[in-house]
Amino acid sequence: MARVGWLSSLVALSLALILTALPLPDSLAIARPAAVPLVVVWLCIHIPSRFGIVWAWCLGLVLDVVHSTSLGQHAVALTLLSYVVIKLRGSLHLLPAWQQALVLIPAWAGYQGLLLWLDSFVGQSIDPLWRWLPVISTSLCWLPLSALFALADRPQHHEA
Amino acid sequence: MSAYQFDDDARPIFSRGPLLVLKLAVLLLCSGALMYYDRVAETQELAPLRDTIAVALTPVFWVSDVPRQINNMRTHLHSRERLISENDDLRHEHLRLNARLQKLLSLEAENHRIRELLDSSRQIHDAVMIGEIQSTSLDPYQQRLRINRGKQDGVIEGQALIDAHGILGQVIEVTPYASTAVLITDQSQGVPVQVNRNGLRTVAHGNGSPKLNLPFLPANSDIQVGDTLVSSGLGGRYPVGYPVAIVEKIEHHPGEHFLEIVAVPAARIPNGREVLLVRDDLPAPSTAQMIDPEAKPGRVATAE
Repeated sequence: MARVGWLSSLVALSLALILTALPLPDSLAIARPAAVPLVVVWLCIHIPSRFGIVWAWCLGLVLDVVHSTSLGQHAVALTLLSYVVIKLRGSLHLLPAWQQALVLIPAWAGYQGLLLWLDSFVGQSIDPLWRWLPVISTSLCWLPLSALFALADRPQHHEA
Repeated sequence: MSAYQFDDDARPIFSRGPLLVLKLAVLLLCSGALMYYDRVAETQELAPLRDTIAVALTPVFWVSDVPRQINNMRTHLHSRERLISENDDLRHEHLRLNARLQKLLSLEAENHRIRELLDSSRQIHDAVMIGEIQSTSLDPYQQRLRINRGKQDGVIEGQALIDAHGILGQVIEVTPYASTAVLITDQSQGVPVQVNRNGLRTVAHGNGSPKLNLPFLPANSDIQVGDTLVSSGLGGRYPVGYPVAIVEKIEHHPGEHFLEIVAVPAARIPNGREVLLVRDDLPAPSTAQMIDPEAKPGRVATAE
């Protein structure tokens, strides 16, 4: 058994932000996983007392600045996503990681759909089919993320 | 079963319900207010908040730019011969341009005299500043650039962005040390242009692809494939006379009132590292200052 550390949470969030800001070729960028929401959801499931919707909202504002979208756009989507996840946490934390990945697919789709809907208010009419690609890539990243957190927070000394 | 244990105070989920809903409602209201003031009301009151977050994020942008910097270094160190040859070419071009500038000096003086005679105060040159592209469009659906010049360097929102070949776009967001520009090929952009050959005015629209559309020209308009479109300056956003695009294809469908015209942007989007930020509301230095050997990159110079 391991406890999720502050340090690993901070490192994961920083890496997620760097991955979000990393310039990629267009062909890869359309399938860029939603790294920050991925880490936020993981933290909401595993340390909801220390990481809740207020943190998610603040990180949403940060994403708005990174993406140069209107302030509050990502904040709304990320706050609602973390709220839903915290509500479902009771069931989610009992599931193994691969089942969590499957259960969370509608959550990523909802997050992406909400961003698409908010985008339409600011005049971004784009081919919506491609906008759903991050749902798949984000779902696929759930298992590696769980494995990485398990590795990072592995206890140093085993009890006898 | 998850491999993680949870904090004891996190177990009674349902007792935290009402507080959580209250928090959610407050945060959603705050977000709604922020979105309204930021985009609908378009006030500048949120600029300090955006600037603070952007400054705090500087290390993130710096780290995420490292792979590109390494790639650039590798490319530049790849071939010494290529660099020497490029250096030679640039030296020759510099000489050629200097020769042209000498000629321009006399033309400028002549033009100045004539304008004085006409009692015209219109500037001949626009003030420009050299900026470096830090990254291009994080979001593939938005054609944007991030430039390493911000408020501290005197960049303002709405400032036009050009490269050596033509207009690239305009600055839409300025933070203290960097700014974001939207390209003319973005679907939200339209540039007032005129055909260089005959002065015919229209608007070139971006459509998210690397080409531009000219949707409002009637079927009997005098426009040909190969015509150069230059900025007309209408609307006051882009300075007058810079090349915007070259007409590539003209189609007229029987029964339609308007021509279907496709043009290729004159600027090499986004093929270089350096861009020029243009302002036509600043006093510009004379051409004599432009060929000053002490000139440093980044300082205000003049563009033809």
